[in-house]
Amino acid sequence: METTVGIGFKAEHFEDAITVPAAGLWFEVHAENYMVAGGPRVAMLSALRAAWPISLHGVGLSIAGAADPDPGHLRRLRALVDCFQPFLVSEHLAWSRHGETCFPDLLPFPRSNGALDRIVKTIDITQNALGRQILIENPSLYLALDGHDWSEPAFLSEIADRSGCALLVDVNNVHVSANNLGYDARAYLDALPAHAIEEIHLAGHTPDPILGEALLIDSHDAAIADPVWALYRHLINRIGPRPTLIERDDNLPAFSTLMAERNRAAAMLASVQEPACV
Amino acid sequence: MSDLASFQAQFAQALASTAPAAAFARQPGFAIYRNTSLKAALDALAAGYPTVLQLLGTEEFQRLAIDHARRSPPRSPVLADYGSDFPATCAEAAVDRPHIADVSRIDRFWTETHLAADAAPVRAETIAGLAPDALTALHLGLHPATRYGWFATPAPSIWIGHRNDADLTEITVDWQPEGLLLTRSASAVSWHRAGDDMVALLKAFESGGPMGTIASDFLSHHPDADLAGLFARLLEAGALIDQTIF
Repeated sequence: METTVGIGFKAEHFEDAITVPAAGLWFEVHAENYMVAGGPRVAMLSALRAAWPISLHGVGLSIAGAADPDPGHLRRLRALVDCFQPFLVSEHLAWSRHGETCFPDLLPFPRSNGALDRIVKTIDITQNALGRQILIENPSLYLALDGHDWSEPAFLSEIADRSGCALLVDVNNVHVSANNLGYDARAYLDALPAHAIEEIHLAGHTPDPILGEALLIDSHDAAIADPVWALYRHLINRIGPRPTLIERDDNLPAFSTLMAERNRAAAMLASVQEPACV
Repeated sequence: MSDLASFQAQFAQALASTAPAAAFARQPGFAIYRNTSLKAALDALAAGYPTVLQLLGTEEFQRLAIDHARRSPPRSPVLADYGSDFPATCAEAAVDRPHIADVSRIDRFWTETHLAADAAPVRAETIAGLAPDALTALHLGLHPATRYGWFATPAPSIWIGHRNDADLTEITVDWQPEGLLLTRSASAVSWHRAGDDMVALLKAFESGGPMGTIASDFLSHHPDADLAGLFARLLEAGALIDQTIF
């Protein structure tokens, strides 16, 4: 598939999404929203898929969980993959399940050697269950934790090497985490292995209502900020064009507003060349 | 226990506690994790129980939803289906207003109907074309999306009133028991008022058996019921599927 820019799908935009004339458009959907037996939700996704390529983005597999991934969840994910034939399947470097309880969030953990072994095993199990490669996304971080043996780029690089997974770089998450934990976002991006990166996410964030800019929240409820656009430019200048997604989950604007952000990213993608050697 | 497992146990405990002991929980960023998980559960309950939300108002609903999310957090990442046991929380919280719990049960029916598996309903034309002995041998069952109930309160009238007019705050109802049937076509959920005879017939189809037996059992208990009329309404609503094994 040609390297183009897609938009995170929201049911509110369904009519626009299936009728908009836009070459190379694609949509990303949250896998868990469609893990239902049938009915209008599934019918909507079928209609969307008939119109455009889709990417399947999981939020609930708990890749960084201490336990094996839930076999039932893997079966449901496999069924979606088989039915809708997404061109990309992704998940997060985070956990969201502890015992019987699910946290509808992407939770952090110390990037220890033990965590690395466990996560590589979980990704292996997942890729085997799905019969295909998955992409792993860097999360937004809000806490300074003890017990890290690895920096996040080195950790992601190592799990990609060992499991054969690819990486999804969320540039907004890099900006948010670098701001919150006090590291350099460009140095972070430069440390990621270019060959492993198969997708990029762009989204908006908001300052914490009490602490302001000192604590940024990955809220997906605002326009993509200028520093995130600048980081995106920096990243694609180094690694070349990659499928890129505009994400907006809350405070939804008109579809045309997201298309304008999409077109801005598409113009930036078109202006960079695939490097001769990465 | 691995270092990852013990960290996660500690983190989960900190999320559940109002005064967590872990050092990381004292950082301001911890509140973001606490809020995100809770907000997602509350949003899912508000989306699943819109009529209860209208009846109680935001403040009381929020209080109930927070209490529910703490006692019965999500056990699946599929949040569209979260809150199957919220009617029990509603019943406990509004013992003096029993229609609230009944309305919450109907909101839950709507979600189950909306998310249920697809299946081709039996159509009236198909039934009309059958010879009498083929009809009595037919095994019909409930469509996966069919939900029905008989309520001690006029919750169906209250629920329908709020669904039809989101601004409605005062509804005049006769305070008597009522029934409701929910069904789904390929694209939309629909609802139908049901008398006690229709509820009894739905119960009979749910138990299963050949049409002839269902009809004679039903008529022996409801000799005055219009069986043909009730059956036609169920077919019209798409409530039934053919389970005959040839």
